[in-house]
Amino acid sequence: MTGAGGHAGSGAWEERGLAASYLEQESVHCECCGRMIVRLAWVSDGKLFCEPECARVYRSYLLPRLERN
Amino acid sequence: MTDAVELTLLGNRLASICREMGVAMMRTAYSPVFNEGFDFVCALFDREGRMVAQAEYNPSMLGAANFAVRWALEELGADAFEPGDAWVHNDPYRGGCHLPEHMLLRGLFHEDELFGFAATIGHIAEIGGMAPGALAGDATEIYQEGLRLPPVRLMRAGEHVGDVWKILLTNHRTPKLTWGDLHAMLGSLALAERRVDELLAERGVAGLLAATGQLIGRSEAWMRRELARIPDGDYAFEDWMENDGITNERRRIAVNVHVAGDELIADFTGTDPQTRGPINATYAVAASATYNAVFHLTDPEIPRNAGCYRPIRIIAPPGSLVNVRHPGAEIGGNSETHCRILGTVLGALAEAVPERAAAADGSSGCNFLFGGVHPETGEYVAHYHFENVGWGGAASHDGNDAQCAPLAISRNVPVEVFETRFPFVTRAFRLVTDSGGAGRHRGGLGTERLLEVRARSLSVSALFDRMLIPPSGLAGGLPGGTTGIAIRRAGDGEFRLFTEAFGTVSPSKFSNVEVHEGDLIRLVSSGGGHGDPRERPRADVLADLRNRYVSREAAAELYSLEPER
Repeated sequence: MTGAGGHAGSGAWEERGLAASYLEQESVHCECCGRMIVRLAWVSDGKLFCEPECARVYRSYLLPRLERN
Repeated sequence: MTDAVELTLLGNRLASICREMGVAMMRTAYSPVFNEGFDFVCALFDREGRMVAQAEYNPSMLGAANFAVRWALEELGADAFEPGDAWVHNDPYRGGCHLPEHMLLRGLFHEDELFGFAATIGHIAEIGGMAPGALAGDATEIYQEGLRLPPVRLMRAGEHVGDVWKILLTNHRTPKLTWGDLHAMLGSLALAERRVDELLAERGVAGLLAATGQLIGRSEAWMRRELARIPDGDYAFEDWMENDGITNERRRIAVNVHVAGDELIADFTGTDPQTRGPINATYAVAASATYNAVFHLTDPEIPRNAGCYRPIRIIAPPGSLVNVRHPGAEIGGNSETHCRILGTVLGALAEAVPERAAAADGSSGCNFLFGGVHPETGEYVAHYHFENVGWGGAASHDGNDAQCAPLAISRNVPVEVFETRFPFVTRAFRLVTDSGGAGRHRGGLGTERLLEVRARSLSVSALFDRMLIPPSGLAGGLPGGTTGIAIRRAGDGEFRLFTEAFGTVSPSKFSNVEVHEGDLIRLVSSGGGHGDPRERPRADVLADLRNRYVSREAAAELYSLEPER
């Protein structure tokens, strides 16, 4: 992966999201791309991501923009 | 390791299986939206849910095909799939594009070992909900839009799961059509199973998985080479939805397209919050529209599998117009908002690759829905009708006339089929003079259709956009015409907007208006022009005049054509 650069950082897969219960209507979303998390979230620095790639894009692209604005 | 030639042949064979799945569906489905409109997609996946091949059917479902399968797999687990099972799922909050699009999914086994999955996604024309045809222009939550199904088995070991079928058919207004269309989809999956099994008999599960892995890697590398040709940078653009059917406020879609090396990020931060009305897009729609835009600008020969999607990333804030949260209404997000998201990404990239960009297109499905009893058969009929639009002029050519908005490849339903199935007479269907934006390369023309009601009463709904905000021109080209829906009621002398005739809030988005025998409904679609119209070659303007694509007045005023002496 050469694109936006950066690294995914450390993290771990945790069971979260929609598949846990049909009684819950509130969805859980990736901190970076906004995608709904179905069953497994990549948890890194206390934030939920749908995959390690999103953690990388969050650090290299989104976070610097959010801090600037 | 499979060599390059053999890999190409394999990729083509897999794509052919997907095409054949579509042909089978087209030939056996009951409703015109399938067998005439081609509103479906067919794809194959490996056992991890990675797409290995896809046919060139409906681009609006590109994202759904990727996400709906992967998410269903994640939710259910691969162990849930048994030979002879088929699962159905239409939940927009689980990777779908909008509620009418039902995904049927089947595991592909060889000697009891799972290779992967075959999936079709098709638009079921009638799914219950507040308005016949489902696309209610003034719905305010998903529960009004039709029956929502999480992934559930429709077939178990080759047998119908009767309870699910009963629930489904009881909640649709035209159950026979649903039955026929779902069986066309099941037939398509059975065909895929046979064809992939032939391949598996030649290569074995491990061999085919290894080769499809290579195919995915090759597509990814190809797409990365294409993206690397786009200059690095941040390209911003915004466009507007004219209203949401509930209030008449415009809604903003903003994008920053970040290109860095061989990767592209479409970041929709700054887009307006989700609306009460049904123009909200799901994440899969935002993704589909972004992929669609990038595919417009890159090599069309790249095999469509998981690899070509991988370098394209989408950031869509939850709770916004481009990533609706439960229970927001979403049915127009796919047909209308997809078009605007696509146009917004293309608008941003026009700065980076002007030689490949086009002016804005008609970008509305011009969705016209109706339901009622057919006077000749006594049967309840319902239909989802869409109009074609003009495409934007590009740096090298005029825009296409009367073509489905670029979210789809759908064909329109022939007049003869329409009149045979539904209680209307088509009084006119023609290109609209001057509807293409003037330019060095003219925008494509839209159409006008006049439909006379031939039933005592019908309930009609509409979900249009571009009725108030025309498609913009590019590089000095002028805007194209607007879309429209109007009615001339029996005994009235003139066409009126539905706001005037029936008091709807929006002229372009409403539901369940009752029309009667003799009423005449006018549907108009419109693309923007590219380049200074005064630079259009005289011979092209004269040809436009002869074909009545351009009026004498427009030729003189916009193209500076001097009258012949």
